[in-house]
Order: sequence, then C-alpha cells, then structure tokens
Amino acid sequence: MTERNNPNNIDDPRRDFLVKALAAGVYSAGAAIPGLVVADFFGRKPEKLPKGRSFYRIEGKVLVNGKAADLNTVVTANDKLETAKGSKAIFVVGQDAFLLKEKSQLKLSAKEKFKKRLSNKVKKKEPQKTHVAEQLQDSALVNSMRLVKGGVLTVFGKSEHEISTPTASIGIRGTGVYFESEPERSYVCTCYGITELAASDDLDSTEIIQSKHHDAPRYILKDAPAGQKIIPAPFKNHSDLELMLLEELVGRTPPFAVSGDNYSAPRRGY
Amino acid sequence: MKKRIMIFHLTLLLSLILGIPSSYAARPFFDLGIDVGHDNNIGRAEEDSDILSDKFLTASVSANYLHQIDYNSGIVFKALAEWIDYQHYYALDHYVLGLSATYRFKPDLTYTAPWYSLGITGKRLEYHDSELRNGYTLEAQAMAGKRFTDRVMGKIGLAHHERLARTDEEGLLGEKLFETQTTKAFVGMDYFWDKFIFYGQYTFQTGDVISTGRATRKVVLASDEIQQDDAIGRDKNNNIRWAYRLKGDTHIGDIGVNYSLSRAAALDFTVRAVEVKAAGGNRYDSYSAHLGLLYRFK
Repeated sequence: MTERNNPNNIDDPRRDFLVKALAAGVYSAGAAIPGLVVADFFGRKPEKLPKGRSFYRIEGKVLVNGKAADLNTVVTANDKLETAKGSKAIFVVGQDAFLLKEKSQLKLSAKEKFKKRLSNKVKKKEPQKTHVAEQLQDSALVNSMRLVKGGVLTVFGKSEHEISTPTASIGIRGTGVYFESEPERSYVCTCYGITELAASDDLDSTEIIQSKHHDAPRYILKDAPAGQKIIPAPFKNHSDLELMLLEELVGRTPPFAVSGDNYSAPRRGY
Repeated sequence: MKKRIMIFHLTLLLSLILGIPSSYAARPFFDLGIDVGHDNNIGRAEEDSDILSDKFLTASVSANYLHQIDYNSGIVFKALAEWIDYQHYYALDHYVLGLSATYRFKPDLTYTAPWYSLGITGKRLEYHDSELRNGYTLEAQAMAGKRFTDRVMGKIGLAHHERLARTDEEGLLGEKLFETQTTKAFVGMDYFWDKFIFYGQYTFQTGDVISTGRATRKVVLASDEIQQDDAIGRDKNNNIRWAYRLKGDTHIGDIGVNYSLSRAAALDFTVRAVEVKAAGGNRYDSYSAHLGLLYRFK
C-alpha cells in the first residue's frame, strides 16, 4: 500500500478535501449550504456549547481516534486527537476547553485519582508553598492527558488535572495553560492559576507557578543537569483572545479583559 | 502660542511620570516597523500641474508599557520614534518623537462585550528642510469597540487634533501656516480569517486642511494663511508653489490587510484614499499605499 492510499495518512490531499467538507457540515442532513457559508464567513459568537456538542471549530484535518472528525463528533475523556499541518481544533470536554494547534497529538484519559508524586518533595524543599502542594493533592477525580507532540491551549474547570509530555509532568488546578511538546523540551505557560511543573526524569527539577497573567513561562528540558531542567522561557504562540474564546465555550470568563495588545501579533494603528 | 507649547510639554512630562513602572502587571513590549510606500499627491494639490508623487521609506520603533489597573481596565503608555524618508522631495524627510497614554476599560469580561478607550498623544515633528512644517501635534481620542463574532470586530471613535508650529519668530506672515485644528469621527471594521486580518476604516474630518500649489485667485480668497512652500519648490514654469490653509471637510478611506508571519511578526499592506472639499470650492484627492514589515518583542 502506498502512503497516498494509506487510510491512516492524515496528510492525504483527498482526505483533506473530504475532512474540510465534513467540517463545514456539507454532508449534514438538511444542511442549507448557502446559510452555512454565510454563517462561516461572518464567524460565530462564542458561547457555551449545547450538550452533546464537543467541537466549536475544525480547520483542516482533525482525527479523533484515527477517524476524520466533523462538528458533530463527540470527544470523550479517553479519546486521542490529532491535527495535521495547517489544521486546528477547538473543542470542549466537560468543563474543560481545548485549542489543539497544528501537527499535534493529544491523548485524553480519565483517571479515578492520581497522586502528585512530587508534592511531598516540594513540600520539604519549599515549606512556604506547602498549601499549594496540599491543594493540588486534595482532588478526588482528575482527568489527565498526554501531549505527544505539538501545542495545546487549555482552560480547566475547578477540578485537578495532570498533563504529561515526553519531558514534563504538570499538575494543574483551575487554570488556563498553554503547552508545547518537542522531543528535546516542553514549553509551559501558566496563563493564570496554579501549576506544579516537574521534569519527567528528574525529581529535583520542580517548580510551582502561581500566575495572574502569563507571569512565568517555562521550558522543561530533556538534557540538562539534575535540578536545572526547568528554565525561564519567553511568552509565545498563544493569545489572550484565544483564552477568552475557550472560557466562553464553557460559560466562564478569564480573569482579565485588558491586555494592551501585547499578547497578539503586531499590527498597524490606522 | 507659548502657553500652548508649555501645555504640550507638561502633557508629555505627565505621561512619563505616569509611565514609571509601579504595578505587578507591568508589561513592557516593543514594536519595530519598516514600510515602503507611494503617495500620488504629496502636496495635497488640486491642479494637475501641481500634483507631485513620491515614494517613501518609514522606519519606526516604539516602547509600550501596560499598567493593568484591575481585571477590567489598564493604561497603555507608548514612546515612539519614527523616521520618514522621501525618495525625491527630501526636504519633507522628517522624524517624529511622541508619547501617548491610552486608558482602556472593558466593563464585562466576556468575549463579545464592548470596550472603551480614552487616549492622548503628543508628537514632535522635525523636518529635514521645511521650517514651516516643524512643530508639535496633540491628539485626544475616545473610542469604543466590540467583537461581534470570532471573525468580525467593529469600532467607532472621535478625535480632536491640534498641530502647533514651532517658530522663534512670532508675528511673521505665514509662520503659523501649519497650525491646524481638526476634529474627526471614524468607524472601522476588522475581519479575521486564519492568519489574515482584513480591515477598513472610514474617517470624516472637519477643520483645517493644507494644500500646496499655485496661488490662484480662488485659493487666495479662500485661505486663512498662505506662505511660499519651503519644501516642494517651484513648478516647471518656475512659478512659486504656495502652501495655504483652508477650512474644509475631509473624507478618508483606509483598507488594508495584515498577514501574521508569527506571533511576533506581520506583513501589513494599506491603501488610503483622501478627498477634501475645502472653502472656496477647492477640492483635491490623493491616494497612498504602503507595505510594511512589523515586529514585536518583549
């Protein structure tokens, strides 16, 4: 079988056409095509998605558990999502909303409970932050996910979550967070809220971030001396506007309204 | 005159004092820009024989600082420097130094809630070889905007603009030629699509306008001030070109597209059309276009 004929090839151009058509709702029963085109042209007012709906927007090729997704596809807490080059997916699972960037793989999973394996160590090292570690440990039900590659912007509800990448493990509570996963490093921006960062293979590299507005982006490195794998990073590749949109989809608002344009691409005043 | 310049300097000083970092949410960021453009009527002239076109290059840098007051409001301070270089009419080359402060308020944190802003901007203009044009500008602006959907955003605003001439020799005829006052209202729309922002704005402006050309009877009778233009020179028949100030209404249309190369860089292309209907039946129009590379860093 050639790569072009491989049904699992997410970059097949024929699949691209089909997926885009599905995403636009062209094959939906009763779809009024001119209406859809007009609605898509003018965009949509972001609001809480109705029950049974997961996707707010699909651009390009998006797979859920290996199958092409459309706006009617339901994402559950144990699904695997994948985006191709130039593609993007905005979706909601429960009280959490996600913006999955291009060339990304995200594996969601629901766990009964997880223990923050690093919290006790952090407690010993940084007694002033004990209450944060305790807060992170107190949760009863936690969703976890693994970002294999790419980037994902997330806003979470009150419950506790854990995200892992090839180089990092991040505990999260009631937070907006942006992650990127590369083979040699991970990027984590705690847009607001509390996160606990840890290098996957180094118990000495940990940090608790308490952020109000992108205060402390971090890289978590694969190859660095023990205890020095978490280093400061620049703000990059996400925006306040995206956070506002995600929060709107789950009926919340972010804790800021004015950003002064400093978290968006430059444009001319006119 | 001196009193107005003193007010200008006090405004700049106040902006600097207010801009001193003091809050937890201090957010400095910097913008760089380089533009190439073409203006088909640099003197804003009416007669074909006076209409002169030129190309220009613009380089700009600004330092911006967000002082977030609370979740709903903040002030953005900006210090900017800009250099405009004309290909042929180099007397019009000039630099601009400016300061601005803009207060922004969004009472509701939701995505489509309206936002409001009040801003003041002061600039100093220094020309390569045009004493008439040297001076200061002050602008106060009020604006409101709203996102209607995730693709469409609109805004409306009002602004008052004053330009002050900078001269050491008060009382000479024409020295205050470039002292102008204008008031404008504008409405604009942005359309977001993938990495593109398509934008357009219509502005109606009323007040003083300045044009350069031969001093016809119509112009002389209608103008408030008139003086030999020290930058644009004479026409091909060696007639003096005069700069004159008139009362008039100006219609300005801007359309443009911004393409985001990354979160830090963008290409921006804008076309502007201007039509002026001034006192005494004087009318002129002009078109300009410019392409810029913009870069932002923190």
